[in-house]
Amino acid sequence: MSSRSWSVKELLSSFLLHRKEFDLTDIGFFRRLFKHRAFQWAVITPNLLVFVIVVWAGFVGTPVGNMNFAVVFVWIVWWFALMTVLVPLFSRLWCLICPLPAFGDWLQRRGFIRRAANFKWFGWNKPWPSPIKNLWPVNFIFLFIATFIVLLTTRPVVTGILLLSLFVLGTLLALPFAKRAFCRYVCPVGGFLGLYSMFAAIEIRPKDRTLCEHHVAKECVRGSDTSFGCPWLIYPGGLEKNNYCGLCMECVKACPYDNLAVRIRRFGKDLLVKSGRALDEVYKAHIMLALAVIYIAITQGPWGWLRDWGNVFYKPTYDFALSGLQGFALHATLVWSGALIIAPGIFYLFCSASRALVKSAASIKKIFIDFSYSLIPIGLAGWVGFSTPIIFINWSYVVNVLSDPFGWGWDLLGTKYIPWKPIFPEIVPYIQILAVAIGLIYSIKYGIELSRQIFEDEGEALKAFIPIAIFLMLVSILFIWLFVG
Amino acid sequence: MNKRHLILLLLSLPIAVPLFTSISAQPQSTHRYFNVTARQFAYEPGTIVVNQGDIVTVRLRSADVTHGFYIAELGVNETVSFGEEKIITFVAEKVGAFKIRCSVTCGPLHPFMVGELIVEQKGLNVVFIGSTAIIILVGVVSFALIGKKRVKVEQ
Repeated sequence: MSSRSWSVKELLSSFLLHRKEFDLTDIGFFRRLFKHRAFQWAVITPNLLVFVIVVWAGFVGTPVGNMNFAVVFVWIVWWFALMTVLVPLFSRLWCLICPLPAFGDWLQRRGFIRRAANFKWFGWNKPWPSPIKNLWPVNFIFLFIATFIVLLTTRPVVTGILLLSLFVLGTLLALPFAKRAFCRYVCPVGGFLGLYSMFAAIEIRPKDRTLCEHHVAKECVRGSDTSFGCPWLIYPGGLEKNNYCGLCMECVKACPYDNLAVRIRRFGKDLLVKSGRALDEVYKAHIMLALAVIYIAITQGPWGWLRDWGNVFYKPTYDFALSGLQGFALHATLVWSGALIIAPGIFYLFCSASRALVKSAASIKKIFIDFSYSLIPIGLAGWVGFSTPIIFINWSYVVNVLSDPFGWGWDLLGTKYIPWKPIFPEIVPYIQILAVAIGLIYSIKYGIELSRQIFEDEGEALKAFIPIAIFLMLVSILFIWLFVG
Repeated sequence: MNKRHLILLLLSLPIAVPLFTSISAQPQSTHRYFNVTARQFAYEPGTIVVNQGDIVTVRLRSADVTHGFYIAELGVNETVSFGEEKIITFVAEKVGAFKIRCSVTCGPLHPFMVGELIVEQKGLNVVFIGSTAIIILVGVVSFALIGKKRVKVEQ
């Protein structure tokens, strides 16, 4: 395959302005990179080294969170990069370099890079049980972990325990179950990455679907003499949305016809894909939206009592304060009911209003599920707003721990004693407001299109979307109130 | 200007008018006093509301360990130890909602120790009101323009 001529201008225009889709495999460098067998190994290995330092720092480093590499790297650097850059622009790129399933992969493949001659999968290679072949396990695991957010983001040992547990689980589940069952059905990070990757500006898709349909060997999923096939339990030849594609490039390597494109595309394209819409998937959108609101209130709001509730080790210091466990019980109730009942419940009421407004025969379940996809842009915007001050305010902790990752008094790079000083704190609210405004525009844009999919008549579609638009604006105003109210 | 644009304009006026009226108003200076207690990991009271131009005096005490009282946008930076009392005086020059942050590592939840200083204009949080107006306008205009686009294509 020859390289198509391209220019930097064309690439930037595709990426930033979305004038047209651009296939990165048209560029020789990227095509060779994606098809190289050592590519994933080469990006996972250094990340695995960082992961080891993070876990080590969690267990043996200082218990002071903002002086420990585990907390600072994971909850400041990684989280900020993930929510503001990696997910919106590059979909599940993190999954490409994620160290959690690395050992499981290598065990199953009996090697690091190449597929051996007479290759046989290691382990029992069983399918994931059908009743839990959905996002509900991920949703509940994520909510359970999310309940401990205050501990997780401030106590290095809790971060260490969580990451090590996920690593061990990722490895152990690779033994009985085929391929990356852990990433697909268990990983709490994968759940929200999958959801928000639908909005992302990059995708892997077949160039010519007819070719895939007529090609019997299906190396992209079954593997070939030199490749393992898709580890994500999906058929790349039929890919329509990003949710479960970890960008590992195994299909790009396997396809004998170079029929898989790695495209830069317009934001939010997958939100209009009708296939695969389901309650478990949209509940993830409600959980993430509710948690964005709750977390902003807890960690960035002026309400100290709310933080006390989230801190299970809190010892009452004022007359009407609740004990650690009492407060934490309320906090857990708030998190679980907010994510599973209140947020979806309120949205359900707006969907009912939408249905009543046009006297539609469409089922309320369908309306609820389909319209829920319009929450993805505004939800992601809320998380961008949440994540922005994390780096702008706390950047100095990052340079401090680079010199002293374990809090043992080292000063490796001479940055240990750089004093805490936020950078550009005055622009943070404006970035947050801008993010919310952009999220709202995309939510409305895709919401209207979703409404047109649900209601055939154009007039009905626009009318039915009014309550949803009001809901989206109220959510946006809630975010604005939390940021500058 | 068509009917839709007119409706949009009308919708924006009730919010835009008080906003711009308040922006053009001259701030009147008052001396305001607050007793603030810093504790792990909150300020009591958590929110201080003043008007633009007010001279603000905070009597700061700590209920437990050493804490900071840092408002980057207004150049306020003070620390207070347990048993100590600090008097901080500053002028609320800028309007907006400013985070009061602890500048001294005071325990596990230290990065979350946040309070809020809201500087209003004539009793209005103009940044919030202005932002809300913008969000409503963005929402309504997006709805109008995006809704219209498809109709045009179909015609």
